[in-house]
Amino acid sequence: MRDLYASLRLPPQRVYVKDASLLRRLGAFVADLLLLDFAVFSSFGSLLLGSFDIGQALREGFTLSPAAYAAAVVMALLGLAYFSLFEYVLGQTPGMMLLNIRAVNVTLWRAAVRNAYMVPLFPFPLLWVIEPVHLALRKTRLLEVISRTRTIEYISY
Amino acid sequence: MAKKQGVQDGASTATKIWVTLLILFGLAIIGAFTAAVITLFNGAGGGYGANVAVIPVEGVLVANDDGSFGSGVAASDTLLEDIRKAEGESSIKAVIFRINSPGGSAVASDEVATAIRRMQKPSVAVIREVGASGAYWVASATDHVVANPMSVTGSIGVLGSYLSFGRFLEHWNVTYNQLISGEMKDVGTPFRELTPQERLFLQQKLDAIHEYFLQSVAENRNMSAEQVRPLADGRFFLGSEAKENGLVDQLGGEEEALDWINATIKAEPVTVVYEHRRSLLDVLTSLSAQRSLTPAAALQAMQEESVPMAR
Repeated sequence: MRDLYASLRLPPQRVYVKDASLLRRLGAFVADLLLLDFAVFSSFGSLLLGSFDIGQALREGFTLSPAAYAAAVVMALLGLAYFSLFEYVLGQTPGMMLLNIRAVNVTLWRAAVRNAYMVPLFPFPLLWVIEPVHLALRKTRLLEVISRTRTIEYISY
Repeated sequence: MAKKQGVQDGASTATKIWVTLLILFGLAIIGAFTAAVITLFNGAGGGYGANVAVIPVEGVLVANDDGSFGSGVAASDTLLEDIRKAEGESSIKAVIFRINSPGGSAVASDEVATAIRRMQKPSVAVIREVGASGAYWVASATDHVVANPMSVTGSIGVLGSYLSFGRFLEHWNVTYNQLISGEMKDVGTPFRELTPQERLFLQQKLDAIHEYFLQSVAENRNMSAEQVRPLADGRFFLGSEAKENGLVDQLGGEEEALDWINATIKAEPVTVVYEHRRSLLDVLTSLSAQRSLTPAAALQAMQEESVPMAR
C-alpha cells in the first residue's frame, strides 16, 4: 500500500493547526459527558435520582439530600480526574479523539488547572458561566490562558 | 516540549484504546466504591448514626398508592414496609409517627395500627394539624400520643357514602337493568335508590366497623369500651380537649416526642426520616399506567367510593 502511494507521487500532506472550533469543543464535551455518565456515574444513579421527587420539587422547591450532595461532589471530582488524566496521558479525551482535537502543552498540573471548573467548591462553579463567555469572545477558555495550554485541531490538506 | 507529559502524540491507536479502557475502568471502580460507601453511611435513607426512625403518615390513608402525580396519600403497604424496616434495623431504637392525616380506609388504618401494636420498639405519634378518625386509630396504637393543643383529632366514626343516580336516570328515561342472583348482590349500586332492607344492611356493616374501631382504640389506650363510647360519636376534638379526655398523652410536638424517647431509650435521639420520594421515571410510569376514563372505569370508581372510610 505504501509503495502504491509512493508511485502516485502525491504532494506531501500539509497539516494546518489552528485553535479548535467552538462546535468541535462542544461536541467533544458532550461526547465525554455521555461517556462519563454511562461508564463512571452509573453507580450514583440511585443516590442522586432515587432521592429526587419531582412532585415535591415542584411543590416545595429543589433540595438536595446530604447523600445526593455527597454523590454530586464525588461525581464532580471523578469528572475532574477523567478530563485531567486523559488530557495528561493522551493529550485527548475520548470525546476529543472523536472530534479530532487535542490539548497541547499539557502536564498533569496544567491539566488539572485547565479542568478546574469541575471543582465543586465556590468560586469554581462560576467558571461554568465565565468559560463559555470567554470562549465565545476570545476563541480560547480562560483556564487555558491561566494554565498556558491550548486546544487545537488539525486540518490536513 | 521539554515538560514531562504522558504518551500523547506518539501513542498508537491500540495504546490509546488500552489507556482509555484503563482510565475508564479505574474511574468506574472508584465511582462504584464511593457510591457504595455513601449508600452505606446514608443508611435507610437519612443520617448516619440515627437511632430514631420518623415515619410520615401524611394524606388520606389508603391501602395502596396508585402512584398518581402529587397524590398526597399515605398508603398502608408503604407504611407497613417502613415499620418492618424500622423493626429490622438494629440501630433504630424508637419510631416516631409524624401524623397529618384526616384518616381514610378502615382496612388501611387497622393494618397500620395492628403493625404498630406488634412493634417491639417504643413508638410515639406526633399529631400535627390533623390526626383524625383512621389517623387517630393509627396514633392510638403507639405507646405515646403527642398533639398540638390546636390539632384536630378524635373523630372516631365510620362513614360510607356514594352518589345515587337513580332519579337522574329515571328523569332521562334510562332504565337500569342488572340481573342478579342473591337479593343483596347489587347493594350500593348508584343506579337506583336503596331499599329499606339494603339501608339497614349497610348501616349494620358500618356499625360493626365502628364497634371494631372503638374496641381497638379502647384496647390501644388502655381504656374500657364504656369510657371510649361517649367520645366515639364521630365528633372531633382539639388536641387540648383530647388530652383532657384521655385520647392524647401529652401536648406539644416533635421536641416533646424526642424528650419522651430520650427518657425511654436513655440515649440522645438522632432521627432519620423514612421518605419515599418519587423519581421522574416513577411518575411517568404511573401516568402511563393510569386507567383511562371509560364508562367502566367511572362505574368502578363509584363503587370504590362506597368503601367504608374511617374519616
